[in-house]
Amino acid sequence: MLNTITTTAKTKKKKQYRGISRATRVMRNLALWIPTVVMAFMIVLAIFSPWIAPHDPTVGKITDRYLPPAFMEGGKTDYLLGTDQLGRDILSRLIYGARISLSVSLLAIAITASIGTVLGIIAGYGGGRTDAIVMRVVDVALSFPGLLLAMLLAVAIGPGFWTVVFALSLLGWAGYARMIRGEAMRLSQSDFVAQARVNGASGWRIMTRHIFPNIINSLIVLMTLQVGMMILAEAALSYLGIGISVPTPSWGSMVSDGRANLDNAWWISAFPGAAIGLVVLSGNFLGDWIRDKLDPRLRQL
Amino acid sequence: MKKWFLVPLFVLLATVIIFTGCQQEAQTVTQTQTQTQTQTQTETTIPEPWGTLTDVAATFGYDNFDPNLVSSWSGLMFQNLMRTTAAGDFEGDVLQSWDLSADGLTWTFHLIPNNFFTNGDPVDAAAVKYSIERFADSARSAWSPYLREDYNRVAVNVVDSLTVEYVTAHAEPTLVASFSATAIVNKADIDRVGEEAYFANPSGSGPWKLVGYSTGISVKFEANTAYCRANEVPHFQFYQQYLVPELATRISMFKTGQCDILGLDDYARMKALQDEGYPVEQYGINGTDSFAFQKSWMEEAGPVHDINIRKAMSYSLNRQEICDTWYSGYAIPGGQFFFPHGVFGWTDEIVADAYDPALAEQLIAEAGYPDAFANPIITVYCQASDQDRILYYMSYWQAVGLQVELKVMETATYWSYLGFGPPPEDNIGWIWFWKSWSYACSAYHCANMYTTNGVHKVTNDETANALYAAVTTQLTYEAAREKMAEFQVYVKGLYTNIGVVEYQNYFLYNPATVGGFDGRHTGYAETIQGATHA
Amino acid sequence: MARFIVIRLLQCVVAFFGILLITFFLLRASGDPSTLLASPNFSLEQVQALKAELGLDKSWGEQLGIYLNSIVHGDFGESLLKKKAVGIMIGDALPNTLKLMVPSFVLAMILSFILGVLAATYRDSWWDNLVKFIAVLGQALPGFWVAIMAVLIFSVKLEWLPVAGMDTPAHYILPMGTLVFFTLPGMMRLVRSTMLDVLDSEYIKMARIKGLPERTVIWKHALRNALISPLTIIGMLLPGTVLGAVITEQIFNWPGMGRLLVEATFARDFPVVQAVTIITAILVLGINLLVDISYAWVDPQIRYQRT
Repeated sequence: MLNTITTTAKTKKKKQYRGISRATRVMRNLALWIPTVVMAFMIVLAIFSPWIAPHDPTVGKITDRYLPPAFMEGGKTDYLLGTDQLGRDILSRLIYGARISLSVSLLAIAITASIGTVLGIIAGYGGGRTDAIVMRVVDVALSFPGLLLAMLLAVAIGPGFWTVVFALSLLGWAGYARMIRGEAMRLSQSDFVAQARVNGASGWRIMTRHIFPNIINSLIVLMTLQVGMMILAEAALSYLGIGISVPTPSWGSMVSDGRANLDNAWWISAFPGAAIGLVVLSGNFLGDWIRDKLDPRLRQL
Repeated sequence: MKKWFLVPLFVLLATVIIFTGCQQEAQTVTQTQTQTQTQTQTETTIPEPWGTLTDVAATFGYDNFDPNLVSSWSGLMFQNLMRTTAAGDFEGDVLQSWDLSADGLTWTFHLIPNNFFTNGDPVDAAAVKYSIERFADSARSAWSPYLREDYNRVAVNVVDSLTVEYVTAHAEPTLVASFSATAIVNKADIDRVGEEAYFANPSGSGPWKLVGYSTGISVKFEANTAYCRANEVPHFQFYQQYLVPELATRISMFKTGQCDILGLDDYARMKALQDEGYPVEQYGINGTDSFAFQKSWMEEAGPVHDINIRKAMSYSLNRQEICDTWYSGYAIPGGQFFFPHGVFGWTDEIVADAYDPALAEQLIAEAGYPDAFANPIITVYCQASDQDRILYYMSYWQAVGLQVELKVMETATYWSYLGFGPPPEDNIGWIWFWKSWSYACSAYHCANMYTTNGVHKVTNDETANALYAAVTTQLTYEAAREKMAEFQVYVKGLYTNIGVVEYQNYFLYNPATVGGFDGRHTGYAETIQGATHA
Repeated sequence: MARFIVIRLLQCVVAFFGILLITFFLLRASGDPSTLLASPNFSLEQVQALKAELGLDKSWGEQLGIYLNSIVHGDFGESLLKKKAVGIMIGDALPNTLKLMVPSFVLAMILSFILGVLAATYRDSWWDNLVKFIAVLGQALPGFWVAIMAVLIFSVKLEWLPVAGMDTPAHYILPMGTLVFFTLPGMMRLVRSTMLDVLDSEYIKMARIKGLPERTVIWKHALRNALISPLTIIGMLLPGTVLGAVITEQIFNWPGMGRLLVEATFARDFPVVQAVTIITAILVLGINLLVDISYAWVDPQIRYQRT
């Protein structure tokens, strides 16, 4: 079984490099570098937002509301990307929004990935009854209308940053668990785990030292792909009125709030929408690239 | 060969289906035609209503036509016991007149004769008595508790088919407020078909009757040509409302002529559309925008326990600028909680605090702020939909040196903290905002804001309690009016609730289809009722 | 096989009750509907009376007992907000949702198959890149934003399509388009990668070596094997489609289960939320069960592994 996989991988590599043109190779590199630069840029924005943003994102000048971007007729150079319904600077809100949106996304990913990995490894390695119990919980989680859970949480503890993180985490962990369990199951039947067991390694040691390192690849790929998904999910929650509603904006809530002005002030929602699009695209391309490098078998993700 | 045989068979079948379908439709059309014909024959004086008036709504609220569930449509289909006049007074709706006995205990209602529900049943004393009792006992309305037996009702008596007596335990002239909210439903029909069937397709005596409803999509009314006030019969034959949740879509529909009426609470958008040439129509009494301090009488309330801080929060607001910017000129400074110009008890002694940041800073200094307070941060609470406006007000407070933070709460939780349902204990020193439309008489609303027993838990002041008690126990409405003025002047000085502005209500209309509004302007529904053709 | 089905069925029942209990208690922890129904002038006694009328004055345990008893008898109770039988409300809403969801799901499935298979077959061609691009772009923008833009362009500016309602086929175009937009990218990705796996497999190579024409190899041998993946796809994408349906119904004002759920949740209309959850859970669990069973039927290994 293992043999066939390696041979197919090899043949594929050969096929890839045989007829490759210079242009394609340049494109391949761009597919790595553009997303990396975009992501890095967004992260820098998020970290240094107080120093970068030209205006306060929460306080606006009401006399300056609905100003179009500077490059349009009627725009002011003070507000490069225009202002919103309260006269707040869109650019500054976008910069601060990077902070909120990326933190929500990364936190939710960290939480879902850790829970999913732990449960997945335990179920996959433990097998038998442990596996059955964990997988039933996963089944419940996957068949539960997750959105309902998120809405209930939002109305129960009030909308806010942590509510959104919590809600997104509740929705996401089961997917990880299911995937990691499959991997762990495959690995626990492999020769090296059997050898470790023969050598008297404890279950804990096998799980942390033998199985986990072999799962990291798939985990990283899935996590990268999820960055954008989480931001989109946050936007969807905002649309339903259960997103982050502190004065400091998230991109999702900016798009959602700006939808009332789609007909007269498109810039309020279009720029944060574009930011979301950029991050999602970068996340996807980066994830694809990492996957192709690390393990082409994972393209199902 | 066999297949070819199927083709003519199919064609035949299709023809039959189409034919029968058309026939059925044609039949119903002729039926309605004969109905309208008979109606016009009897009511020859009324010009035949024609055309359809299209409106869009952001939410339908209840998809039920029971006026007790605060349906926004009940005003279209049902008459109330009384109604308000443009001057802010009360007049009969199903009543021709009423008398209040000299001791203030007995109200005698005289019904309009020959007034009928749309199914032909008369609007009689039995229907009125039933409607009052039903409203008092089962309505989820702000006004119904005041008509209950455990409050101040002794009896509702049918004197004759056109006279009803309402007897109270003590004099309470302000009950007109509740009477004007009591919708008259058709008891005879309810007895026949049961409540559920009746309210699915109700027969009221209002200016419109329901002709079509698709759950959560649209609702259609037809002018009631037999309406008891012939001069108020709508000029449009149909009034159709579509549910369109997105604001951008509603505005675009209006601009492309897909709807004739557009209500907006985004004043900047309204101004922009008016500047583009769309006419606006003002209606109703001004709404008010105010904010209150919960339990500020307690030490633990922090800075807002000090009246100087509360005063400073009023003097630091530039009300004129708020009117000009946020409300785009559709508002005037002043007003108090449910208390704008022209309502019951209004007096010109009440003047909005001037914009005086220097005075505000002086008051803040007198209070020793921020050093005298362990926690100088003043927390403001709101629901997400009010956030933008509150942030704007906060910028004024921050400008005079107050440290203010905003907490956004989920709507239902927010309401529970305002005193709906079981009262929570930790809302000490909370500041919350109330933007609402107004009523001709809002004595009862003020009880909640300014008396110790009021559910909002804002004021705890013996004088205010006594003054309020005086308002509701006078022998005549006129005497009560003076007491109300006295009460409002006093409570303004307590600074537990601070009025910001009175905003005006407008909607836009399409001049291509609507010429104007010649009817009453007491509310949205009443104004639309008088829409004339362009 | 029978044993497998029985065990899976039992597991489903357990999962179902898990969902029911979580919903029931989380709802009650989320707040009190009487706060939204009571008017500001209600006295404490009146609020208590309202609670008694709504059956909210009893302990949670008692409420659960009453509720379980009534759903066993097929009674979902009455909406607190609208004073209407929940059964009737669901009866109105469920067909509307299905009318929208089923055709969209089928359409998305057909499209994703055609596009996905073509992309996998002509791997790295401009066609493949186009499909990948569409897939990525579709996932890159908030769906609700795209949908509102579509309404503004097609319904309002161009007036080609109606804004709201569900009377004519034209009313279905935009909501269905939105739902397809929500589901298509994910499905397409899955089909493409499944197809790639199949094309890499030994027996396809064998077929090629045998000298069969490429068209036969792909459309007969490969596709037939790739078609097994719809099972997986349905199972994996169904919850996502539910989310998409909620947002689509919200935007297009479609009187279905999604809108009912959103409205009822914010109003703390317990019986309605519970009923919607129960129905959704039954549907999702049922479909997953069918998927599992058909898998087990196709692949006997699974039967032993999972029991």
